Amino acid sequence: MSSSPCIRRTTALLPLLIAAACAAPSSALAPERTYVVPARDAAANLPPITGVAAALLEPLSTVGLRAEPGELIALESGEERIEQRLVDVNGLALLTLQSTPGGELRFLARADVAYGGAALSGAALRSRALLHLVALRLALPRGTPIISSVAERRMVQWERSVNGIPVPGDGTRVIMSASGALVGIAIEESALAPASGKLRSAAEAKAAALTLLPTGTVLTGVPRLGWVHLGALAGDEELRDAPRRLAWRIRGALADGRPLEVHLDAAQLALLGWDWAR
Amino acid sequence: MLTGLLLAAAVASVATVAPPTATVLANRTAFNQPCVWFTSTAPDRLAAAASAALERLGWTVASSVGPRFTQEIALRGIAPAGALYVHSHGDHYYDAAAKRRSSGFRVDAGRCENAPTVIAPQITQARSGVAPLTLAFISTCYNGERISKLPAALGIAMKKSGPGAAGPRSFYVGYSGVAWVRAIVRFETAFWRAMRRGATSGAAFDAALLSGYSAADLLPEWWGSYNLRPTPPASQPGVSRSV
Repeated sequence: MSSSPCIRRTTALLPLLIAAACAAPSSALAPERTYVVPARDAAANLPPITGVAAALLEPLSTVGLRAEPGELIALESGEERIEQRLVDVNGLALLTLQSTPGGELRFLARADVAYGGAALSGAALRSRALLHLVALRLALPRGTPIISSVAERRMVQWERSVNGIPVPGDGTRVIMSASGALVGIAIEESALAPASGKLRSAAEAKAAALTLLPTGTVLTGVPRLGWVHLGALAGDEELRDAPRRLAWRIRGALADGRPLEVHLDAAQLALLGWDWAR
Repeated sequence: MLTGLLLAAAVASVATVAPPTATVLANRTAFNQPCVWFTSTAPDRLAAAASAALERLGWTVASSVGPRFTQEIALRGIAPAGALYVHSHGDHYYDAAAKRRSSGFRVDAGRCENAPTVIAPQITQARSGVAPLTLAFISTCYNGERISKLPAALGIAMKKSGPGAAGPRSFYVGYSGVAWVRAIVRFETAFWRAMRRGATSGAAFDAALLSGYSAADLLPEWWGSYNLRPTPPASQPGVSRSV
């Protein structure tokens, strides 16, 4: 099962190209990005941000607001996006959109969404999140989302998986107030590297990890497969501009109790990177 | 005892004469070889991102990353600060003087383990008579929990003043429970980016929630005023367009 997102906006640039992209298999390893216009020109072809503001389930009144010209930005991953903003008289952005140069909406953030209100149940939050996606004509992710509460906001997250293997951090994320008002949407789909050989077993991965880790390290739980970003110097710095690699993710604790996670190439069992807690 | 009095005097002296500055502190030693078996670039990257954003907001930034981040330097920097960023180990440490737990963080001091701590009562003493911090970002484990004593020590009540509500000229960010470093980097990169783009503190926090970290690896929390642009007291709220 894959919850790979693909965004459809009927008013977006080049609907035929986008439809073709949406029809691509969701397990495609490295999404193709075909641009027929230079990125700097794409902003002019995106739907007006005022139209998106009006399409929200809780529409944003544009009275007194100003739409800034679209701007080409580069993310840490190297991905280029067109950012559009709707700002008030003080220049504060009340609505921010980021789209690919091909016209796919990837990020929406509202400011000034109130806290409080009647708290929705998990099932109601899931339904509400889907309604927000429908209102924006975004593709509906499949599967059961993870619903969590963070700083009095609610996060509904459909994590992307490819052939049943999770891609942590990728997928569709909807942030709402406790009462279901939309705060933001993010859709991420990283490129994935091809498999580098025959998959090694969890037991082999655990044994390899133990030879790498210092004496006294205790491994906890079962190794899990996941698509991870390489770490610079096999360390904690995610190289987000490189395709993700299939890895065994193994958690444990150093001798002093500090939690850590190592990432070993799923086929070669070489150290790809690590993560740990503060 | 004498050291403590001298330190308090030095801190008081700095507090009365120095203009509000932003203090950025990051522990590098404990997170790198030879203390551990791997290399971590996160402390330097996180401190650099915080410093750049704070400078963009108009603060004069004093940064101590690595062994220079000692207990004395930390307290001297925190005492007069208007904004503060700390990346290190954090916990609810035992306060021997009060015979109970208090909240804080470890300094670097070039130590692998058991580096000295800075805990809430020391900060309260150092900041006696100083206005509450405008922005405090405590990038450690546990100091976003409701039982943390750091917000109060920095003069920030653990209340949320949401959009449109009048509130204090303060904003505090911390993490509950254990915070994993890859998630920290994603969250904070997005937070500071939004701040540089002119967002209010609350809107920057909301934007950072969208940053693609694993929710199981990080539980951010905030208190203060959603609408705050955390500029130095004398400056006008500006809106930067640079990324």
